[in-house]
Amino acid sequence: MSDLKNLSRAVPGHDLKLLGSAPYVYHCHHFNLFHDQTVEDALGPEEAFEVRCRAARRASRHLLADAVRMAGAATPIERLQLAASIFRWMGQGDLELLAGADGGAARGNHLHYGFAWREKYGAKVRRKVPIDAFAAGYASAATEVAFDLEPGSLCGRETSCFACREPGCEFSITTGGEGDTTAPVDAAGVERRVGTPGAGIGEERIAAITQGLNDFLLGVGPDERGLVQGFGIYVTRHLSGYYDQTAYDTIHFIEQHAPQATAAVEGLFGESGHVCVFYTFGNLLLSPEWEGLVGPVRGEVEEVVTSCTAIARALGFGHWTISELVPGERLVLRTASNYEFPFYLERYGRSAKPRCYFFANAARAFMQLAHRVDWPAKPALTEDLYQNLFKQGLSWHTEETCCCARGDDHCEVVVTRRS
Amino acid sequence: MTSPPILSEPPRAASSSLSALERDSGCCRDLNWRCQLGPEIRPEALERRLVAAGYDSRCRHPALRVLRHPSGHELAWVLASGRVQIRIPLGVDVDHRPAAARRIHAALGELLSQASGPDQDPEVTTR
Repeated sequence: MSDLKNLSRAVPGHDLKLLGSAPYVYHCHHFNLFHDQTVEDALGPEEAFEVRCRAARRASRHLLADAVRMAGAATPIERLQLAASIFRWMGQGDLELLAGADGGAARGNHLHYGFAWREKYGAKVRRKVPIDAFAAGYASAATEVAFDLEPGSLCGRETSCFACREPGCEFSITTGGEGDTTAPVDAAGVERRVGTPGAGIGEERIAAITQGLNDFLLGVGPDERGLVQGFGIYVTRHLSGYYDQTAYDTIHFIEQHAPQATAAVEGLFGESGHVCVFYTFGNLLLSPEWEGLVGPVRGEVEEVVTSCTAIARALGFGHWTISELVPGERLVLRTASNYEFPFYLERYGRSAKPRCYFFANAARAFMQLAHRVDWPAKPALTEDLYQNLFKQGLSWHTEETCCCARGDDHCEVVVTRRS
Repeated sequence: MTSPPILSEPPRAASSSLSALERDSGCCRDLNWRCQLGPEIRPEALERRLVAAGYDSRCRHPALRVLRHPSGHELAWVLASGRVQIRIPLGVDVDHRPAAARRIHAALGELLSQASGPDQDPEVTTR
């Protein structure tokens, strides 16, 4: 565990996190399920599994190759054990890697996606297709790295899934992959693309809270099942390359093949920002840890928005700053670093339009939480409240007015009250 | 916007030093529960009793304690306010979580009662 902690570091001044040279962020299961469901809704379950598995394999392979080198893991067994440890450290669950150079199997227990899907939807919906594409891609990457195989030479497939009410998760790892020569978006790529970090309103408070949260997160580790609980929330330390590739590949596919649906799909990836801020930020604000480290939330607009900005930084979302805040009217957030645009620029080049869907909509959710939640009443952040706040009563418009992916020197999102 | 009613039976305090059990906000249904310690509770003494009862200290921040039991549940405790959050492990079936929370709450009350009984820990004072 201490070795894995040593693998984790930050991009100085930018509030971005790295595991080895792979960027990662904290996200909870509500966000993860919503994000992957969006890919599935846009592409269909089978193609979505392929896209997610490919993104997982690519991002994980990069991480694992780094980790093996840094740990000096020489034998396949050492490498597979290291890969399983990292999977647990990430809060993804317990993954037994049983494959050899010619393929084989993997077995998962308490896998984040399957376990969380069954927790959230299992009582209402019967799922028919496996969900653990991330584990399938990770298992194939781990086996490739363990046996020094070419990137993309193995394919992972989930043959039994807990989310489908099967007893556990099983994977087959087979040879015959089509190969993968795409370069990873690593620390060097991120550092090449981020701009100059700025300062904004409430900077002193935000910086102090961020520091406190970061210190606290250093002590957070996985439990015996490989799940990570921090602030009373089950979270993953997840590879941002996975989110970025799955989101942008999906949107690009839709832009090419069903352009009339582009706005809807972009809207759903944006809504994942609402989901994250409501469940993760909201529950964090109501947690005993927050009360102990910062104090109980009084519910003032400035307090909630600066708190949310600090949380975003601590979770590795980038050095977000508050450029303007007029309670009841307007919020302007800026950043020269987040986990979206550096990937876009490195992988696809400059975009004709803004591409920071998460950033733009998280900002809107800040305003919704700051104005519509009665924090002193310690509300239960339930699905019903989410629906009430974000489906029936969304009173804010958001627009990304500047975006580094489009060539601007910073990203800026302007949130205004709907007339 | 307030938390829903707690349990079908009337909430009861487990001891005079511990408030009734209520649902707390959390990322999953019925995983997090809250109760309140009386101001007379001394953190060091209670922490020692919890450790003696098998809890492992996972966070010893000056303002906060997080303790984990071998069975998987956690207690997160804000020292200044006396707020305690009982965290049920995610593996516990949703239908069994309220009962699990009640058991932990009762056990916590029992520990506090022992602390204020005839053989009370000298570091635990009562009002």
